This record gives sequence, structure tokens and C-alpha cells, in this order.
Amino acid sequence: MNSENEITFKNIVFNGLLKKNPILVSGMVIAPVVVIGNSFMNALALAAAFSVITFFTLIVSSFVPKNIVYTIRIIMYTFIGSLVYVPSAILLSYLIPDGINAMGIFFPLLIANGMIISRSETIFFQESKGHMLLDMIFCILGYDAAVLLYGLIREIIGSGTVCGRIIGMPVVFSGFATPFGGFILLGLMAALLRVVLLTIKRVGKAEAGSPRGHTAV
Amino acid sequence: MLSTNKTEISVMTDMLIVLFVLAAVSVYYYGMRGAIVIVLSVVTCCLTDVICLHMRTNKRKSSEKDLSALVTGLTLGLMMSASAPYFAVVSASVFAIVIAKHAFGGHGCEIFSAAAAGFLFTALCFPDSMLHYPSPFSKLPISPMVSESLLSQSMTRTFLLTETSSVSVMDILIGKFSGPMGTGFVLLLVVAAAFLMLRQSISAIAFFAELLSAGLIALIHYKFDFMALLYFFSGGMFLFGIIFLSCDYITMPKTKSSRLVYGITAGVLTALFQFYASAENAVVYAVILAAPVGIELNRRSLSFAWMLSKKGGIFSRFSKPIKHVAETIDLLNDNNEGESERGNEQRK
Repeated sequence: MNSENEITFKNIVFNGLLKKNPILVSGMVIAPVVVIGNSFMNALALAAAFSVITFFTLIVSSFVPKNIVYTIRIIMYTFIGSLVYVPSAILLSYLIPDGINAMGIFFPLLIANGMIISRSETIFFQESKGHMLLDMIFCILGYDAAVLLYGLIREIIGSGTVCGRIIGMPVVFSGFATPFGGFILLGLMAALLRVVLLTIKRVGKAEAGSPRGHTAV
Repeated sequence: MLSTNKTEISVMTDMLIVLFVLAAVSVYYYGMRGAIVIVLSVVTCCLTDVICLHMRTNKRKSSEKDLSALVTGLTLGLMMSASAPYFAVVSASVFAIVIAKHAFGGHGCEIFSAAAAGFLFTALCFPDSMLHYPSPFSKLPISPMVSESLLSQSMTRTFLLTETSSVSVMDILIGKFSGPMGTGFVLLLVVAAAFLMLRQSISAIAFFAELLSAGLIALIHYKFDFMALLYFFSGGMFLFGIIFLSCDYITMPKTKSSRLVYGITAGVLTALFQFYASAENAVVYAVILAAPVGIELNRRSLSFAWMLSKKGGIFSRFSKPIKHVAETIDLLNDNNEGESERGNEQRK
């Protein structure tokens, strides 16, 4: 049986999407999520902007030599991020202009997000290239999935709409559309994920404890 | 615990007695709908508390005698408008218990007053329904929603906008004006405060510190107009907020000096919110902001007392004569014992 820390495709997917989810477990890049992620379309724009900027910045940054001093390396990552930002901004402004406008100052600030500044050094760049690529992709996908789900739930509860269409909710809690409610919803989702992870762990332990085909006497 | 002779259950019983009296007068003023709002708030709080306790794995034995959900439910119910939609009452109660109480570790671990947090949540979600009020003795339908034609701005909002009010002094004293259901009975609240202070269920230091600091700023702001001061004290849940939210035994600091500073902080914040942010029910915002100040003050004073008591320390010669320090050291020891007991329970 594979251990939890063994490098397998299943573990990489599970870690990126759930166990080490950048938002719900690590609490990374939550400011733009809470402030602008109050609708599904805004969440979609944020997820797209984050994915494009983070992915290309990390790919280019992985070629920065390790013998350069740590402080300089981090500055170089940010510099690479700002270079990646220019074509990303042009592309995304063409594809999702409203969403990018709604992001305001949080869009350029994504070049210095936690995944580029800290997780790259502590996790990604310690791994082999292939493993790093997979790990990075599923971490970004984990972020995107959490943001999209969060934006959808927040739009339904806070505005009573889905993608701007009224769905006839009996009660709309407009407080959830504000950053105050956004933080609370994020906390509740993080707690829910924790419960899910604990349940998975418990089930896994129970299965490991009682092998199939053997019954207790 | 507020004093060495008082148990927590005794404090809560005193609070409940006063809150029941206020609830009875509210029902007399606002009829059946007022009663339904209060009962709904209490029932939802108690039910949610029971569910949360069952869901949590680290249930404490003391929770069996915990009346805090009942106190929160009654406090929250009295802070509501008599015309508040029922779903708003239910959501405020659920928020207060789930988010403000159990998410922080349950009874005794709250950072904010649960009732204040619940009220703020609904005031943010449903501002139109929550901040418009019926007149006392008006006939309110029992339906979930009340027509806006029966509602008006509160006396506090009118006073904030115009700096005048048509409400007479007698009506102010008996609470016969538009506002939250159980928070405007000035005479009754003064008697309640005296009763609770005599019974040592609320801190007199914090109460007077908050009252005097806010009153002083209000007096200067209104250029020594005592009528305006009366409107300030009677409206915006001010007295009610000081008694039941600021002097909440859970968030209240344990040492006297901390209580004094906490009371002044809450009072100054209330005045600032009311005069510079034109916030209705400013005391609720002030209580939420002052609560972490109280916790930090408490922690600092306890650690300072511990530093003073250290043998051979540079402050050791000051440790004996100061009665306050001895008191805080006792509290510190109690806290440490409590924490170690809790740790043992968790280990088991």
C-alpha cells in the first residue's frame, strides 16, 4: 500500500486538490479571493489570472540558478512575474475584460503571490522537474477549484444569482457579498475540508486495520 | 467569574432574571409579535447550542449547567426590532452560537459577545428590516414580514440626523419610542444595572468607566446640553449595551485596572462611532472592537503580575504591598490550573 508521503500520481493529485489546498489549507492568496470573489464570474477571472501568472512565472523561475543568494533569487522571481504579467494582462483583458476590470489592484499584485514567493522555494524547486510540474499543476488546479466553488456559493447565498441570473432564493444574505461575510464563508469551507480530510484519514486507517477477506473472530 | 463569592451559574441566573423582566415589558409594549421574536431567538440559540455541543468531540462536563445560550438568546431577542423578519432572527441566533461561540471553542472561550456578533451579522445582511422599527403599542401582524408602512426610523437615527427629538422626557424614561424592543426602558435599565452591580454580577468599574467616558465626550460634543445627553444615553441601545454586552462576564477582563481601561476604551469608541460615523447602535460596534483590547489587557496585567512576583526579580520588592497584584497572581494560578486540567482532559 502506498504511504501518504510516497511520490505517486495519486498522492500528487490528492495533495494539490485537497490535502495541501493553497486556499483552504495553506491560506495563500486569500485577500483577492475574499475581496473580489463575490460572484462566479469574478472567481473565474481570478482563477484564470492566478493560473496563467503563477504557472508561467514558476516555470521560468525554476531555471534561476540555485547558487544565487536567496534574497536575490526571490527578487528575480518577482521580476519574472512582472514580465509574465504584461502578456497575461493583454490576453486576459481580451478574453474576460469585465472580470479583469473587477479585479482592480489585485490583478497586478498576483505577481508576488505566496505560491511564487514561498512555496516555490520550500516545495517546488526542491523536486525533480517532472514531479515539480505535476505538483505545480495540481496545486494551481486546487486553487482554481476552491476559488470557483467559493465564488459560486458566495454568489448564491449573497446575491441569490448564478452567473448574474436570479435563481429565486427564498432568503439572500447580502452580508456574504461583503469581505466580512467572505472571510466567514472561507473559514467555514476550510473547516468543512478539514472534516472531509479527517474522515478520509479515518476511513483509510480503518481499512488498513481490517484487511479485506478477514473477519474478526 | 466576577468575584470570588460568585459562581458562573449565579451570574447567569441574575442576568436571566433581569432579561426576563425586560422581555415581559417588551411583550407588553409590542404584543404577540414581540413575544414570538424573543421566543424564536431563545429557542434557536438553545437548539443550535445543543446541536453544536453534540457535534463537537471535546464536550465538557460543565456544559450541562451552561445557561449562556439562554442569556445570548434573550439578549439577542431584546436587541431586535419587534418587526424583524423571522428568518433574520433565526439567522442571527445561529450565527451567534455557531460562529461567535462554538467556532472559538465554545463557552468560556469566546472573543466577542455572541449576541453582539449575531446582531451585527443580521444588521449587515438585512439593514432595511433590522434598522426600522414599529412604534410601541402599534398593532403588528404575526406574519413573517411586516409592511413598511408600519415602520419608521428609530429615535436615535432621527436624533443623529437632526440633533432634536419630539419624544418627551417621560416617554424616554419608560422607553415609549421607536427602537429595538427591550433596550430603551431607561428607568428599568438603571434599576437592572444597580441590581446586577449589587449582586456583583456585572463589573461596576467597567460600567461606570464606560458610562462616564462616553457621557463626558457626549457632553462636550453637545456643548453641555443635558437634554441631548439624555437622548444619547437612552437611544442606540447604549445602557442595554453597557450592561449586557460590554459587561459580559466572559469577555470582561479579570483585573480591576484592566476593567477600567477596557470600560474607558469601550466608552470612547461608542462616542466616536456615534458622533463621527453616525452609527446607530454604536455601542455594539464599540463592544466588538473593545473585546480584543480587554483580552490583551487581561493577559498583559497577568503577565506583569507574574513578573512582579518572581523571586529575586528587580520588581520583587513591589510585589507584597500591592493588593491588586496579589489578586491577579491568584487569578493567574487559577488560570494555569484550569489550563492544565483542560490539557489532562484532552490527553485522556
